[in-house]
Amino acid sequence: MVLTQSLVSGILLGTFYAVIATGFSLIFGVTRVFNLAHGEFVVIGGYIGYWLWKIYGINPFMAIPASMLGLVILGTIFQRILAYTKEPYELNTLVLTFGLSLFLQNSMLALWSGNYRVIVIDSLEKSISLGIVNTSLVRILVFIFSLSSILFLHYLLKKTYFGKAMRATSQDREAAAMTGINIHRIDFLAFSIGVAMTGAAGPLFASINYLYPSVGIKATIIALIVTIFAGVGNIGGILAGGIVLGVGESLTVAILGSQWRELASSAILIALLLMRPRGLFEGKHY
Amino acid sequence: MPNNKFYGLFTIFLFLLPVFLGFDDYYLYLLNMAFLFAFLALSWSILGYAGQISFGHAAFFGLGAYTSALLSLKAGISPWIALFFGGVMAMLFSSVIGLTCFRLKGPYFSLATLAFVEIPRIITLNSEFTNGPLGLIGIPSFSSITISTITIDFYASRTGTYYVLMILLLVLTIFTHRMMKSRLGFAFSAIREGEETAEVLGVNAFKYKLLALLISAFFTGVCGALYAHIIHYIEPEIVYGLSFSAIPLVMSMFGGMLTVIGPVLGATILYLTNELIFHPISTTAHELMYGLAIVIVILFMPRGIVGWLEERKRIVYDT
Repeated sequence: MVLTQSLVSGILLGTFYAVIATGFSLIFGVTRVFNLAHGEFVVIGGYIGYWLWKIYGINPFMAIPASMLGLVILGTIFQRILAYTKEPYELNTLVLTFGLSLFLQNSMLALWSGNYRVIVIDSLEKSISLGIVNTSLVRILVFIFSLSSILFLHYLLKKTYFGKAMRATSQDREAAAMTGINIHRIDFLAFSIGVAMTGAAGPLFASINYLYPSVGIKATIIALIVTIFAGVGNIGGILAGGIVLGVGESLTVAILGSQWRELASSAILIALLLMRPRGLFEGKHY
Repeated sequence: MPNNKFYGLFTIFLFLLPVFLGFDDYYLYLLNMAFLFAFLALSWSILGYAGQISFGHAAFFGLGAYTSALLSLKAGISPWIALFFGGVMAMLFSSVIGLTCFRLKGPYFSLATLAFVEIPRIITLNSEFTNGPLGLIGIPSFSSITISTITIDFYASRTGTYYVLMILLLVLTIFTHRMMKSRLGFAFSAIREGEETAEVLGVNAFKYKLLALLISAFFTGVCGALYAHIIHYIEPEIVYGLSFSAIPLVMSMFGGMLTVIGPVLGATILYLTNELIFHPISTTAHELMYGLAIVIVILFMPRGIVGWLEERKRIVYDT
């Protein structure tokens, strides 16, 4: 009973985790930027959703386009900054984005204080019974939205010209450039799609999680875990990784209690890193 | 860089500085914290010399602070001795990180350190023994020292703490300087410049990286313990917080990561600028300056202030 319950809520949550991770994974796969400010991006999207709901009463699902737009603008500025980074590129961007995450976190603290906030819409909080397990309407809606956006991204990457070019670039930049792909444009596009996906995750994050300036690290760790689990570049792997993490967390909460959840996810991250000591560019690609 | 004579004179100046400041409590507090952060930044750099970037030094800092505070609060051990055990505890935890994670290279090692902070943090948060999220209050000051007729009290006045921190920082600076000129230091540089090449030349990279981590963690733990006995109050979200991982990194890179004087200089400049200029503007969010500083350094001054000064000097000589 408890097991089924946590299995189902783990799957619902895990699909959302996959959405958090797709943006991160896409950006890392194509441009080799480990964006440690990723979690802060999610939180900023969350605040956009929160304020639109608080001030204008806009439903978080309706706020997604605004959040995506805001994040794309921010991401473009971010990319201009990253363009100046020198070698060693992976390590320098890591330190740089670490600094930017500190900057964004403190900016949010200055603007909106450290209070815990959450979007609560009574009609969406209604409990729903699926056979023997219970969940709320908002979680079901987040699940449906997450699954459809992942499928949409999958279609984009597999069927369109830009998607194919993106996959080619992530496999081998030089070879892709030689076949006539404008890799700088692809970098820009991958980054923009990545942050747009992150923006989409924001308002959803705020409706199922507490929002406060330093919560970003949780989202960053989720994205890291899922990306490392999946390796660079397969959407199916990301979805599976998200679900494994979601179920793992739910089970930890059910068995040990909610205070150990973060410890479980950190332990998973360390274990996954140790399983792939040579980094993520082995095996499959986009 | 300036010569030994300059450093000697500067040390004398530091000894006399409290007199010039009229033993003002606020200025002494600022200088004490600046020394503490300089100590932290320098401890962090010891691992940096071996080419490893850590995002998780808050783990060592927090472990040092908690170990020392608990030993002095619950077992009644003198803070002077507890300090040392704080460092040892941090070193023990670092050996776990080193033994498991040094097969990870570059950014992947850094990511693992980010995850490792969560382990002591969550355990401290959920343990009765450490008083959970409320933290520990009333941590004793360093016990007073009596030399013939003079008694140095560390609770009532900040002057005693000033000299203790200054001397400890001096000792660490000289230790680090000597280390960098020794076999150990050359091994660290070799690993940083190219791990495979160093291995081929007979440097056991794993062993030296582990040594760098152990030394770095020990001093970071001591620094955490110093913090606990000076501030008298610690809580998990602060001592295991992102700040204590990020700040030493920012300060070292800002000053000049691969030098000994750089981290000390970077810490002093950044801390004092932050406290005197940014803290009055915003008391909650003054740390955003540290974020900005790292962006500027990575983009425009990859070798920090020290590197920038050296380049300027070279230009003067060249023309």
